[in-house]
Amino acid sequence: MRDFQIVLRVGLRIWWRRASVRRWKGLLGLLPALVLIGGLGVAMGVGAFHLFGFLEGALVGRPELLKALELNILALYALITAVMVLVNALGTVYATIYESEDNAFFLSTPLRAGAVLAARLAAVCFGNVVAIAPPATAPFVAYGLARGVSGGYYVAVLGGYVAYVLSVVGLAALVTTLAVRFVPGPRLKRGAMILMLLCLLSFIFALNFVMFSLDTQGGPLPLLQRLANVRIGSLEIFPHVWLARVAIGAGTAEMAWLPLGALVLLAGLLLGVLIALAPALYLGGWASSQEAARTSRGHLAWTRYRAARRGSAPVRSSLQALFGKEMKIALRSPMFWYLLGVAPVGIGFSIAQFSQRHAAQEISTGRTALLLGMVLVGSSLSSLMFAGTSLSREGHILPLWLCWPIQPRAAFLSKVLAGLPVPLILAAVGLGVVSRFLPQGSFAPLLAPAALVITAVVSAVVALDTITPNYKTTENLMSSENSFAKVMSAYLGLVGIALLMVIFSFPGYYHRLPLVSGLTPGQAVVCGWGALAAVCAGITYGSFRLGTRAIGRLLSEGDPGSGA
Amino acid sequence: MIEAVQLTRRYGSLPAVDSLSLQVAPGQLFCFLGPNGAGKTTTIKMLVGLLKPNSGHARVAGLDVWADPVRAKAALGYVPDAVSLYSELTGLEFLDLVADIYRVGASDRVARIGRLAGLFSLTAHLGQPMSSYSRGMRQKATIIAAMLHEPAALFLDEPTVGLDPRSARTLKDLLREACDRGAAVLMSTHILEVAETMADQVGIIHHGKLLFQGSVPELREYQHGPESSSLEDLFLQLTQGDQPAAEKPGPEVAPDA
Repeated sequence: MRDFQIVLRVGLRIWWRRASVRRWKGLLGLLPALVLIGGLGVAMGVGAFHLFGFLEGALVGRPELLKALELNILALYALITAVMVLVNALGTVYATIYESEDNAFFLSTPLRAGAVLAARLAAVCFGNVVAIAPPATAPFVAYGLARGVSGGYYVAVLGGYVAYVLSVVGLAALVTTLAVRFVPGPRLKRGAMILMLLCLLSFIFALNFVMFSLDTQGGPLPLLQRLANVRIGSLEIFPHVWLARVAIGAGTAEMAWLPLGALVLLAGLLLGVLIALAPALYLGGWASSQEAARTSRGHLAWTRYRAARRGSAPVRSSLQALFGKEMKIALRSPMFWYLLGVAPVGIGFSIAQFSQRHAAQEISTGRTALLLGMVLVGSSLSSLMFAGTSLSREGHILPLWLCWPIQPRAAFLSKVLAGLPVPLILAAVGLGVVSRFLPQGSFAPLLAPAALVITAVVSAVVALDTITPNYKTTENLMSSENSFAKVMSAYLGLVGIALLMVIFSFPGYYHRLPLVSGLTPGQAVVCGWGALAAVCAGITYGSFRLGTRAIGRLLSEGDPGSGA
Repeated sequence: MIEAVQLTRRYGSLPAVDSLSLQVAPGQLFCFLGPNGAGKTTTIKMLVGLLKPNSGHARVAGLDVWADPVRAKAALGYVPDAVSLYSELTGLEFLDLVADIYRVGASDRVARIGRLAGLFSLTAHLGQPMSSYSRGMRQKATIIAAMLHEPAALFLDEPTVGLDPRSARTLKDLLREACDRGAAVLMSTHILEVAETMADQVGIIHHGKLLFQGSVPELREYQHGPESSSLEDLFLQLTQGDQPAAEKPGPEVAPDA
């Protein structure tokens, strides 16, 4: 216990010092995430409250059906919680347990490995329990409010929720700890990222499959019957059902202690096994996580390179060389592929639903702008996060970067150009898919405004990063140190896309503006497209000037933060 | 030619480097010595265009580093004290990038990368991502990158840290070779044996002031030391105590500083 307290105390002290140093910036960085999570919690809570209220009214005299539906719904919420915790825990477990800076120090002292691991686990568990709490607990709170239950319900549900999250974190930690023992760190991180991506994609697919396959014909009762038959709450061997049973039991004054006890037992078992195995797994695993995945490709790579460069291969310009470097780094980053996988799929389903809803009707200008906006968001999210940190991520190599004889123009353009190919290709594919789904005709002409908007937005986020770089940004975009920059780049990019879509949809609202209400619809379309082109060109050029000037100043005046 | 003229850099009111002037002629190897925090790294950063001086001039190959940065930087190579590289790139991709930036022709780059990687026993690792490199391997990659374009001026900040004895020896040979080619080499080090055996000139900095610039025999003469006194003895005499030597009795400026 003493060993555990020592490690935990140091961790808390470091956390507190960092939090107090980065007070405002830290809060600002957290704000979008807090708003998002809080908003999601409120939305889920309000939605669930109305749903439970509706069910009670609609199923008077059908208590079995009502109970089956409530169990299904609460089990589904618990399953969503498990996915959220799993996706979050897979990243945080590895980062906290294996990548903490003081691991080498603690593991070389006489402190027990189990105590070091337990302290790390405590941090991960606390982080996950708190981070997921608003959206995860809101439906259960809503259920309690809708049923007007006593205070004991909330205590039981809170206990069940904590035990449930600890079980999922414990499972993620056990799998990670076992895997690290046999797989080198870099490979494991890639694997974890792919696993997170697969979890999310599977969930998005499953949810959309259920939504698409539900036949809404025949009124609410048959639909509710079909929903009750989904039987997600009847998989008794899984913990998500146990959590739902805790809520149903406590809410209806039935026995809730059995599923609650099972959850506590499971969490204790998983975490206990992990700590008990720490001397065997953690120490060796940590050493393995420090190992790099080396291959025997070294000589082969050199032989190929020599053969390719023999003769009079032209020297690439600085712009080409830097562009190539940016693309290689982006395409080799697991985070890039993760975002690239999640955003288009999520948006893709929204577009598919949009297509389904509007298949038979003419699409207004506003809806076309919405459609184009969705395509742009889905295609550019990953690139925005990369482009928006492209200079900041050079921080670790700044001493070399500043000594290279590169022109500011080449440095800026390489970062903008590297942010374009992926969103442009995705936007083209997205518009092709939309054209295929919707019978109203081809959406290919929208590729031109899409290209303009993507270029403008990417240029703007690169320029913003060059003007206010944060050289503490690590090369690894997954790191929590980078959350502020990542979130801000994505946020600004998305706001930019939304504003440009407002200009694009000008033909839809021009008749309400007194100054231009006399325009014909054709003239309004030309004006809308012309204004969009002009604004995008202005943003791109302005960003180029500002970004080039900022990089020029950096290259000619050095890094003011660089001390001896 | 490397030239610092009255270089000054302050952090707040604290002068890290104070009116420092030095010259390294083509073909000369200059070892920059001084206690921790004396101002060696700050001086080098000002000379390579990383840190703008509050006053004074830094010239490389006749070009002012701060007035004509791109041309001046094309003429220099730099090995920083703390090495960090692009972990997502392989060693070969990194060196190829550097060769492109310095516009090294295809045949020259193949020949130079092949030779330097071979000398540092790095060829077998060139195809691996640099995230897998040890500290010594990263140091070797940085040294190769700095030498790839055969610069007229070479700056190395503690370059032997992390290198194995064979690689340290290889580095010494390469530095001598660069000097023979006509390059001016400025290297900071704490290993006085390296300075004593290799340097044409040594410069001793303490509290931001250059206390001495000249050869080791000249230093011996300057300090009135016996023929048998080592550079270590002379260095310790010159930098003893916490106060700058300039505030102690004796001449402030070295013979040829």
